Amino acid sequence: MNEGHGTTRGLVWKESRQLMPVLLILSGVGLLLVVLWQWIATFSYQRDYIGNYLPFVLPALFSVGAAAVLVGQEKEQKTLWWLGSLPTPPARVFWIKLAASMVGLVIMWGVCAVLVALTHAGHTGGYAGGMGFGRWLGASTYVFLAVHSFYILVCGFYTTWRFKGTFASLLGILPLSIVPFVVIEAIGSLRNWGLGPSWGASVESVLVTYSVLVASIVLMTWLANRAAMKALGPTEPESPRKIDALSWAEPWRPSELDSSSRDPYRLSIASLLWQSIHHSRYTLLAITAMIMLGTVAGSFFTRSQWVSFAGGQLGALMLAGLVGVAWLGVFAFTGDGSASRLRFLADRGASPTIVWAGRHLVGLSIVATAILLYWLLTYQVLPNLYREGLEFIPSVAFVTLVLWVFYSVSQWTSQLTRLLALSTVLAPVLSIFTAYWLGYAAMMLYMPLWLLVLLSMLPMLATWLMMRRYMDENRGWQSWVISIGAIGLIMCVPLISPALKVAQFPTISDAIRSQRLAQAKATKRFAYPQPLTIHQTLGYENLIDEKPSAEKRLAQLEKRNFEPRVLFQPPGGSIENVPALSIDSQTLFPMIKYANYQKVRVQSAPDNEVEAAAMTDWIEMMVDVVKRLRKSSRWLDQDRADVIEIWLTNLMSDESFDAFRERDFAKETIAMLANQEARSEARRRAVLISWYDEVTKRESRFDSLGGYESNSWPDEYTMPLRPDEYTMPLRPIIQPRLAEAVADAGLRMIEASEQGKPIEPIRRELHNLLIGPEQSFDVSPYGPLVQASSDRVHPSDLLWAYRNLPSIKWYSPWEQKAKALANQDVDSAETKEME
Amino acid sequence: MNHVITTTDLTMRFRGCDALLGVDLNVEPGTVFALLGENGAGKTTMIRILTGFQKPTSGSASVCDIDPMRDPLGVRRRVGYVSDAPALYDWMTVGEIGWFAASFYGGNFHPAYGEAIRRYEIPEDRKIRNLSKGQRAKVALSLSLAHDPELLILDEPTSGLDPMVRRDFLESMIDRAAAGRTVFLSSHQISEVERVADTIAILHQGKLRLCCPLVELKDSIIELTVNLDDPLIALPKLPDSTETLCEETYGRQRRLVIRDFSSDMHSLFTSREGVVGTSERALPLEEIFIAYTKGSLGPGRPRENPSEIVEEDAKVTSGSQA
Repeated sequence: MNEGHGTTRGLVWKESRQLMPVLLILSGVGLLLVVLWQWIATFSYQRDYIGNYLPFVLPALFSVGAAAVLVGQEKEQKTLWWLGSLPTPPARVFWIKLAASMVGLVIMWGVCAVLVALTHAGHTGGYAGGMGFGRWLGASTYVFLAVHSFYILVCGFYTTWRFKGTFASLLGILPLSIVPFVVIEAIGSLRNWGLGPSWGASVESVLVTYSVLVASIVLMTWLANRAAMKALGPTEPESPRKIDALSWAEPWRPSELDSSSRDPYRLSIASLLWQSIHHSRYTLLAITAMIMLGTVAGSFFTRSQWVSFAGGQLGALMLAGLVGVAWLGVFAFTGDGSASRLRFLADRGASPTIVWAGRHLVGLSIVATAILLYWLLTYQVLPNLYREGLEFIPSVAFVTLVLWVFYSVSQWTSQLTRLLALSTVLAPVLSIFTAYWLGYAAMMLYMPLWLLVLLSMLPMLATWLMMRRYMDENRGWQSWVISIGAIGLIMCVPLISPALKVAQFPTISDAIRSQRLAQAKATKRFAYPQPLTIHQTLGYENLIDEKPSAEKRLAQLEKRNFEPRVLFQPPGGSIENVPALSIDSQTLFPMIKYANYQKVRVQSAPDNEVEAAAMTDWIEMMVDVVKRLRKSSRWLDQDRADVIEIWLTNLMSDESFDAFRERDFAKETIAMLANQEARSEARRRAVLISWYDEVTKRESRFDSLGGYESNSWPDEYTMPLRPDEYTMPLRPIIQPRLAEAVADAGLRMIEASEQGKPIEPIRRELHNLLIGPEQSFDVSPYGPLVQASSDRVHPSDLLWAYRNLPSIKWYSPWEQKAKALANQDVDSAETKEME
Repeated sequence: MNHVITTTDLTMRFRGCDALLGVDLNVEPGTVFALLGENGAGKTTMIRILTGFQKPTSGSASVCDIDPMRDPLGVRRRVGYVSDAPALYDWMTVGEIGWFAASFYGGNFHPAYGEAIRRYEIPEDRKIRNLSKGQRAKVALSLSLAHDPELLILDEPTSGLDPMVRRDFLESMIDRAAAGRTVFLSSHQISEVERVADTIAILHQGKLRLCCPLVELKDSIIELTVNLDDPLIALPKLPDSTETLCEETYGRQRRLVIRDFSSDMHSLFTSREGVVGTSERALPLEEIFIAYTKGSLGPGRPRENPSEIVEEDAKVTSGSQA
């Protein structure tokens, strides 16, 4: 007889082939979920901590389901008994199954590691860079999770060999899985340790933790082996004492109904209900207990007192409750609800609708009871026991919707996969994902609630539509069409409205885009602008800003002299040595304020040459800054240069400044202010380069357009409630289009000015893009009222400088005023010459 | 002679029913042994005990001189077993399951299996799940026969087979017995069993009612029809050497199924006042089985012209005797 390698090889081949589909399906589903989740997280601009758990769900699910596939499924299909009829020792069957599943678990951890690595790859910056699965876990926690997953695996083997039903064995894993924690906690309580290695415990506690885990694995393996030997060996006869004795429950049983004279149920659905309850009472009872415990835990979780006291335990119970609801859904189409058993009803012409309803009545009743219990505890009992705090209490409708989605998706999974082991593993994962997706669609994609309810009903509708074929055990292409159609609807319907909004979003034609890009590419770049910074002088800020002590401090200030070129410097050099500058509002604001202060000083002492010289220094410095800001490739710097130029224009137009106009610095300043062409050219270059950098991602921040935070558009000052398309997760798609449209408008504004065309339509366009058409154009920064007063620099103008809106001051009346200044100079020169 | 199967006082009790009650059984080597019984008679329990899947409540069993309770693997190495509903791995192909099973036996298993599969014209690359019920039964039979076991245990072996294959299969059972191998089968197809079985055992309500060679059985049991003037007339008591399996009255006829009835016992009836005449008829195995298990042959055909029947039955009797 070939007892050795041949048998082992055959068994190893068989177990591998049985595990392969589970490994592939879990890896595929895991990859799909990770990709989808990452896609969602990228759009939500936030780290999605739930997603961190996704890759780790794979080994966890495998460890729970491996025994169900290798043993439970074989028991259900009775192939285990055929295997038992072959001449091979039961121990060999047991150990090869266990070894194969352990190898499978190692592979699953490998897949998990690959997914973690994949999610880390290519994300080094930006919001999406925060999306790194498992990054939060320490190495010790990885090891702990891995070792614990092996413990869960052997628990699964024990329960599956021990219990007849796969469902019962899966339920049995839950209490067993926490046994090591209880032991560790008990030892920890005795020695004042924390729980587990990730809580920063001592080396000793880590040793004890792993010792307990390893001992648990050994113990559970021994128990599993014993159960397997019992299951695969000859069945022991019942003891004569047991055979003759009455069951303890016998006296409590009702007397037998006389079935010949009574028909207990008149309606077929009532019979189906009876069948649903009785075909696996203990399993149903256990699932119900899980759900009710989860519900109670959920109610207490709404109270901060309980969260701080037993948050972890309550969370675990809530999760178990949700898994219970998923398994309740699976329960609908397993056992007597499986296709092979329902064939009995199909052969007797039972209505698929009635059977479908009969399969769901018990499950939905249990879910409804759980919801009622939640309402009772959360809204009736607990408020009387605990004082109301600022707690987040999920509404009954929310809880109903979550439980409904879990049940709905799980029963569909059960009907589709038909393998109990697989559906019990897949159903909770798919339920969590669907619930998250629909919730995300409602909250982030602004999907209407009625649509959410309709979509959540699709899985139920799918199983109802497939019921006849399911009962006939005839799954044709129609079933696949219904399934794929329903999946497609659930995934795509929430995207329709955002997609339409994206499609309707303003954009430029390909021809214009190509033309602009070519133009941008050909534009000359100066050196990257260096930031102009303010070198704070002790006490100076406070003197200006702190009004109560301003007068007192002003007296001190008046005793001091400030060199503007010392106060404002680029890093490591003077302004003159830098080809291009950039400036932020934190620097621009004090510059204007201090220059104003100097202006006041000059106005108060017009004949004081010292003050006049100081004023000259300020103006010359500001002119130098403007010239270098104009060489900056950042759009923002052009607008900041506008603010300085407006201030200078006003200063030069001021009558108190007439005496200085003949000086060289004033002439140079007026010449600069009046040079509209140079300003337009600088603006054009900055817009083109800013847009080009944004398009080609030369700028590392994808949310920046020439220094403007384009991801904050539209302007949040004027429009705190933005339209859906700006806040929805499709923002990354809209973002480049918005930037493109804004840049194009900026360039067209320059062109319109050069060609003498009206600019207001383009301003209105910018208003619609950046502020929103719902807002009044009249009071918009681009609107006529603000533009009419744009020749003044006052506190509100400085506020505009903080604003994230480009080109507000472009081609406004101040530029005409600046031109007029130059003309005025020419006129006065001519007058002088004539004189 | 060593028996291939021996059971001694084999008892199997479950809560609510007694599957086997003190069954003593011996199966000779090189025979086709048929175990007959109604549904729930204990046949499958008996087979499960013999193949080492179930321990009995009491009693002992020996299969190929091995105690199946102590060494079930030893039994399984030497026997071939096909259950009434063989659950094969439906995701494997016909070829793969042969390769898989061969890894447990080695030797000539795989070629023999391949030959059987080709004989049944089942494609080796087809998955088990795509086979018809009959084809699956053929695969299961091929798997159980491929290692040429000295004892073949079959539970309802021909269920699902088409008539042609069934005939071939039954003939192969005879060939196996002729080659010195033993076949132990349980079946409801009594007409088929009758064609191949050497020894018959009838299990009824957990008890072995009968176990003897088929030829001997058929020779020893007859149906005696007694025509009476008055249906209330009491019949004479038969000698203790005989066993009356059932007695039924149809109008003025009394029918008895008797074991070990001899022709000289007719005078016991004909000498009785009110008895018009007697006739006897050899019974087919199916009717013997029914008589043993049901205690009645059921509502027989009403015989309106007794004289004709006597004549006809007498012919049958004489023919049988001849």
